[in-house]
Amino acid sequence: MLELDQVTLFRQQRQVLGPLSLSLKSGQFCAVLGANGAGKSSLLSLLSGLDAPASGRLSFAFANGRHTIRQLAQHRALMPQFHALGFDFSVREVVMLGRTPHHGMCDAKDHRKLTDKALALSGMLDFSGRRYTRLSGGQQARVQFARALAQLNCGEGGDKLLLLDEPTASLDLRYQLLIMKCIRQLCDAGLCCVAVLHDINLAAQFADLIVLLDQGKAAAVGAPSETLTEPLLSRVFQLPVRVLDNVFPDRPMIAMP
Amino acid sequence: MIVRDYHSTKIYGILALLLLTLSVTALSSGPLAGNIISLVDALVSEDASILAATFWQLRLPRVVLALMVGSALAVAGVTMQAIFRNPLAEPGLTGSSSGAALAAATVIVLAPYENHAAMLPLVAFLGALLATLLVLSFPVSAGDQMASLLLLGIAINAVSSAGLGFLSFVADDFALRSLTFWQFGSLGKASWEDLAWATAIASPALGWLLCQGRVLNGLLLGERDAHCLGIDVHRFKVCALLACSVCVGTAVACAGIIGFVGLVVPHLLRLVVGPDHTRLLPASLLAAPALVLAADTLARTVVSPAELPIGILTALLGGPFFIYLLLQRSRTSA
Repeated sequence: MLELDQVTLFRQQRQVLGPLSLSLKSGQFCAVLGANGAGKSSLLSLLSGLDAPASGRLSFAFANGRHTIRQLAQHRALMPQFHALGFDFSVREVVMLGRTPHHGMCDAKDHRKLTDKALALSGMLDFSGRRYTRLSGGQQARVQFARALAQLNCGEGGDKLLLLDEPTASLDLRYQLLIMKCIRQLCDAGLCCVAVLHDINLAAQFADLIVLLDQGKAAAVGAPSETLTEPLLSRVFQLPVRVLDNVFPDRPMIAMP
Repeated sequence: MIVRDYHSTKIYGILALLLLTLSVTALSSGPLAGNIISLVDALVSEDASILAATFWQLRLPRVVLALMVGSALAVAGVTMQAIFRNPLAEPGLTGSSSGAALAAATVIVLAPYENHAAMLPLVAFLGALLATLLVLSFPVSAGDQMASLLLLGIAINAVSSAGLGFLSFVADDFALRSLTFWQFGSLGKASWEDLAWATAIASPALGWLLCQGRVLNGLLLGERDAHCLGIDVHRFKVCALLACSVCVGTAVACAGIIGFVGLVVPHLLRLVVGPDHTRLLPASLLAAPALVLAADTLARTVVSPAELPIGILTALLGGPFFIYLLLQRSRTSA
């Protein structure tokens, strides 16, 4: 699905990312972790095509070299970290915006059906007629999540890459779990997801692969049990961290003493 | 809870009816008014009457010009507000209307007694295009492109206003009257010749902008998100700003600067049809000509046989509305 080979990214002559190598397959859920300024959002910028790598090779299974921006957008969607919208759209209208790259490719009924499905998956179907600007930050985040899902046909059709920038940052516990379970289910059905997360325990619980970034470089890449270790986490976050292996049978739990 | 249910078709119908009524009113009112029946009589009669000549040569081109100017200004206004993601943006934001007026004023003041009726619209149109090209060609970094475009537009508007002020200062009485036309606008110079070239130039730009509703909706999410929706943001912005400049340049070239139409109409319509540009653009195509027609009919009848510059009336309506908007915004943010 996605291949990064010794990729670097520079901003104002400063290297903010890399060299980084990473390979992701369809159906994998990759969580990107790291301290503030470690390069997590820069990695998403690269993957979403907002920035081009300074060196190295970045390739997608759905891009053949002659693709247009619109064709890429049919396979790749980004849920941004900030959700402000200056104009007074309804929730349904915002989610419908996700259908923009598919305009003319299916009829209005299918657009509506996929919009409804995305709204239902994010738990926002009952809010579909509400004004977006009047929602709380967490509700707006769920609407943006639904928009990204609508853009990817809710995972239908294969070769879909979902990029999420802190999707759970403003959600309460219930919806953190709902959104993460939804991502897990979509990945089990073949979607590929890269999510920047701050909650290490959510990453440990749901992700297949962890990319632990430290000052733009990969401190570790691998399964949660391999990467979420006390020395690595303590080094990356510059904080003493305890990893409890005996709380859950199949995954580590991270605590701060 | 369902907040809104837009009855777009019904609203389009009402707006079309309003436009039709205002067009008929405009066609049948004036110093030679009579009533609609005497106008129809004059038109169907085989004898050439003054009323029929007035209709064909003065009133009809004036109404058609109002339709053209209104649509051009409103569609450009809607587009500018979406591109700048700011509901307070107006069509002349990148300096196109003041650039047009400055170019026309320069010709008027430098050669006040020449007959430049044919040349002025062309000069004004080129002035508009030049101002926008100047703004677009300025090297700015991608990160703060919109803020830079906005500031450059403000700078060009300020320089053009200063230029117009200076030209008014050095102009003689004769040139000063012509300058008033460009600064406050008038549909009084409508002619079939001007309409022919103006429509030929503005129609492709207007038609293209009318088809961009979905792209404009996407832009409202911000440039990064719009890119992720498959929109080539930079290319679209350049094309859209040039198309707006063509629309505004043509409108100013034919009718001078008519303020507030491009600002007020999109706002009014958002209250009725919502912010979705696929509905807003066609609605503004009906509503803005109606506003321009109403203002023009008032402008030429309230002090008849003299004529008020139409820009004064639209500003008189638009100014208080603008203050109302600012009050609403501060109330919402409080």
